[in-house]
Amino acid sequence: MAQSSDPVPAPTPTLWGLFSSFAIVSIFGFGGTLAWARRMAVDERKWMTAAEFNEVFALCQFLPGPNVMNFAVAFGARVLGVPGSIVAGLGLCGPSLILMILLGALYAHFGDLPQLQRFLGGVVCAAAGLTLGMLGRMAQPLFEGRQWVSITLMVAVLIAVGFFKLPLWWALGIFIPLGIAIGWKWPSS
Amino acid sequence: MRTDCGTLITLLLHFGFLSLAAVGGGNSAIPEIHRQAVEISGWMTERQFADLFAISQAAPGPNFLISTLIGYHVAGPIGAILATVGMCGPSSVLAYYVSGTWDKFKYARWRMAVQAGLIPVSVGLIGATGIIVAQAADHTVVAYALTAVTAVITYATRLNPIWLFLVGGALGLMGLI
Repeated sequence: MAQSSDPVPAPTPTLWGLFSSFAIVSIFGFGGTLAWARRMAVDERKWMTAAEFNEVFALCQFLPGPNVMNFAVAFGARVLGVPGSIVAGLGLCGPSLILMILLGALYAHFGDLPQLQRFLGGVVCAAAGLTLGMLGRMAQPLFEGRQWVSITLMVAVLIAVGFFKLPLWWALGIFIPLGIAIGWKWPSS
Repeated sequence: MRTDCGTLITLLLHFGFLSLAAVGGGNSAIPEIHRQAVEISGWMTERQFADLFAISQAAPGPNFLISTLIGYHVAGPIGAILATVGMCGPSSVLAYYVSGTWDKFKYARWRMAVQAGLIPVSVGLIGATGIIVAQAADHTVVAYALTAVTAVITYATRLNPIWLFLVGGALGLMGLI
């Protein structure tokens, strides 16, 4: 096939290329793996354009479950079908799974050491802050759009689940229909 | 450590359900993981849950790997694998099938309504996660201050969180928290 000068026809990855790329994303992806996946697929390997990434990203957010895993599966399927999905998913999970088992074993043996307890005690305060900072970032578009109905819903979920420990079944059963009704009435919100 | 079949099946089913219930991303499932692990099953103490959350956030890799750590804590390596398969499996199968038909309903009004409607719910669940972890972790004034400062820095800057974890860990080691 003649090579076009147009950069749009992206190079097709091999199965090994998919596996190793997602493995690298998973091993080096500190603080938000999806951003690393984007850099890998769009900027470095040029397997997809930024617009294509946004489209797949919208799908990953729409679907339940870990976003970055959804991205690996959807992207793998797009380029190489079922084997692509499986290989990308394994690449993303495999090395981290092994790392987590090692960390879990270390924690099981040394978790009661006073030094480690103090260290983790500090890390978890920062981790809580990180999560609350992410809350601020994610809520910001709602405030910028003055979507007061959505904001009320968000605060209700936060209080019901965070403070009153409402089971997720109940939270989803009550709040998702409300959310969809709001989304239907104001689709742009 | 209990590793009977019942516990393994509970792990697989619990995380399998969460895989499909985690609207907007894996972190939406953390309040329910906490409820199951600490309050319902008594798999671990509040403190151990907070520790595992800290490890999963500070370690490289996708954040949903807290399920792997919890699986390991409950039932060793087999538990770790089952929890991970549960957390990733059902949503991945769904992602595979939906990605093939995405183009057909990408611009459908119901699709936009559902997506817009899920945003406040998933953002609220992330907020609940932050509150639950802060309740488990913060017991001193310095701890609350560290959480607050980290939240502001995360919101206002693009600083790599690893530095925040290191500062938190160092303050902890010095016995300030």
